[in-house]
Amino acid sequence: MDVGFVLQQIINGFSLGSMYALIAIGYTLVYGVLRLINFAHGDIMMVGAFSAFIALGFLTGWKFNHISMFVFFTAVGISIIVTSIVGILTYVSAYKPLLDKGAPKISLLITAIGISFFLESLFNVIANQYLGGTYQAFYFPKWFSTIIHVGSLTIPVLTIIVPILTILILLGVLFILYKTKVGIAIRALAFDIYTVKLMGANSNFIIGFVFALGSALAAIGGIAYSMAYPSIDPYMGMLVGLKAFAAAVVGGIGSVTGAVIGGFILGFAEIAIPGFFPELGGWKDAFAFILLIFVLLFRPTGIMGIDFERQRF
Amino acid sequence: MKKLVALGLSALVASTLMAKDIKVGILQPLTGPIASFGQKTLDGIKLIHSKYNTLPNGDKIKLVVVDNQFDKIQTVNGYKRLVSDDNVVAVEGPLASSMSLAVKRFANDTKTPTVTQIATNPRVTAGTKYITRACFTDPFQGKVAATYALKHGLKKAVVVFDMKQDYSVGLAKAFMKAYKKGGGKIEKVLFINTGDKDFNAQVAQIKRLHPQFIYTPIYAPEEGLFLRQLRAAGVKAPVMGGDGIADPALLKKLAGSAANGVMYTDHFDAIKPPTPLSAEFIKEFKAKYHRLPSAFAATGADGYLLIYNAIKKCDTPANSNNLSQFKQCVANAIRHTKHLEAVTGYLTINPKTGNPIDKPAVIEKIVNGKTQFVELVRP
Repeated sequence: MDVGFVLQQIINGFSLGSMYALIAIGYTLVYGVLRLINFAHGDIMMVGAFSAFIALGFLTGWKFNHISMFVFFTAVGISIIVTSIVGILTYVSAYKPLLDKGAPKISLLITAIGISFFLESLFNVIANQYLGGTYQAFYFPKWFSTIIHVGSLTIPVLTIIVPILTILILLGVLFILYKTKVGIAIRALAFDIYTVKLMGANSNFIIGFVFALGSALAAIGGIAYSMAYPSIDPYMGMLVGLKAFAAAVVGGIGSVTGAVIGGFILGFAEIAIPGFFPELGGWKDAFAFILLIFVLLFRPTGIMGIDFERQRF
Repeated sequence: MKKLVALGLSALVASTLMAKDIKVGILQPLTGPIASFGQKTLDGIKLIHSKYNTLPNGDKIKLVVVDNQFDKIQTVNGYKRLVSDDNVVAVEGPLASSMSLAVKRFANDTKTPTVTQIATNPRVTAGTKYITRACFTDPFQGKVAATYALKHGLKKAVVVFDMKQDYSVGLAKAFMKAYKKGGGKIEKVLFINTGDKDFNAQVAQIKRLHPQFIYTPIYAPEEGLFLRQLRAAGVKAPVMGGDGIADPALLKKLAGSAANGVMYTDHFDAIKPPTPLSAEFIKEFKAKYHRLPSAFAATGADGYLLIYNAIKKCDTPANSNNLSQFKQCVANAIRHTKHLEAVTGYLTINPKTGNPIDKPAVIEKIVNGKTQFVELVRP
């Protein structure tokens, strides 16, 4: 086991971890404002991957050969917009009516699971009726799989881009939260939703914005995930969503930086443990959740653990 | 006027007496991960049903199609619905061993004759009188693969199986038993989970071991990505799977050129029709769907033929008024099928085990996204 091998595992781990981080940010943001675990968020990531696939299909006439960067990023843009709209729609159609009626949080949680089933079934129907099968191969410009050789390391371009992109997005989200008016409103809402409403702030707009932002990040995470493992299906969001949720909890739910750190840790554990102990390869899903239990044993509020009643984000 | 009414009534009574509908349930995965298997099966069933839907006494067989989504809960719910709401006489399905095992208890409890046309795990039909299969079993399929590998001098193998699937676990065991018996050496047994997308841990180990042969009794969605990652890592050893990867189109879509050269054992190849009915079936299938029938379509048709043949024997006036008696008769008749001309060959069921006797297997190879016939193996 040489240094090159260890470095390779670390790079792969961070790459997978940043995909989890992108999705985990959505969990954390929504939890921050509504105290709701949005279990449909994993499926929102699937919607992101599928809408990018469908957009690419339309742009290339369903041939998928010679995808240019321009076409690809147009599709990514369309996917981000569509997914954000889907995110807002889930809030407006499912959560808001319940919140307005003062339903208990547990009803919201069950509704989230319902939305999750709805999205899975909807895309199952779309995939089987119009795309020709549950499983689809995901296509992207060949440049992303160009392999860079650094010493004994073989690194596909995608593996480097995703973590860098994640860090930039994290900085962007932190900028929005701390330097813009919307961000201040989001933090205020997280602090005390009723007082913010009394002050005359448009809480619906702010919550809608949070859903759109979380969904857009999930779309980017979903597309990156589909590029790393180029097979998409309507149920892909289930396990990935659960792991991203675990990442958000490990990092300290409610904290954006914590979600990113949690994502990195989880991705790293999932790649490194089978890498160093290949015999355990088949159990890799279990590690994510064992890690979750261990972190919570020692730090019940997660790594960036925050006192929930005093501070958000 | 009275006469007319009486005439009308008697005509009505006569017609209901003469042509009655007999319902047969079809429980297959029409959506979900292996939807393409279910759809192909349904194509075969529909074609054979259009030929054989009327019994000699004028009764018609009606299909009640239910989707099980390749999910155990949906399978059991669908099965219960067919049996208690639709009052079917027999059920064809569900495809896949894990799903068939899930309904085994309900088939026994409700005494419903069930033909699981392509579930290969031996436990599916063991210890029950009501589930019968129309295909070979995994011990045979595993032996065919092991024999083929050993015959070609491939004596060091790695096995990769899916620990969530009864089919995969059983077939892996069967292969290893036959392979070791024939003098081969199993270097390592690796496992994956249904729905996995990252196989780099397994591939890294395979690369280190330099096996001569890789046996993968898993399903096509996992096989596609596994092949892609295996070949990308530079492993060139031949790969073989069971009938669970018999979806060349999906493998090509997911694995691209990495699907080339992959072999699998299957139930039927349309270029070798074993019976006159088979030749006719292939011709009509081609005319209707513009492609050759796969093994799924062929076994789907065979499962239906077993049921049709049994209903033909049992559709007596005494039985048609008593559903449970009818079902019992059909279950017995299916188990005592002898030399029935079907699409994949002549079917003779062993009444004790519920397995067909003498079903051959074919070995297929994927070349440029199409299947190529390699050889036919008789038991």
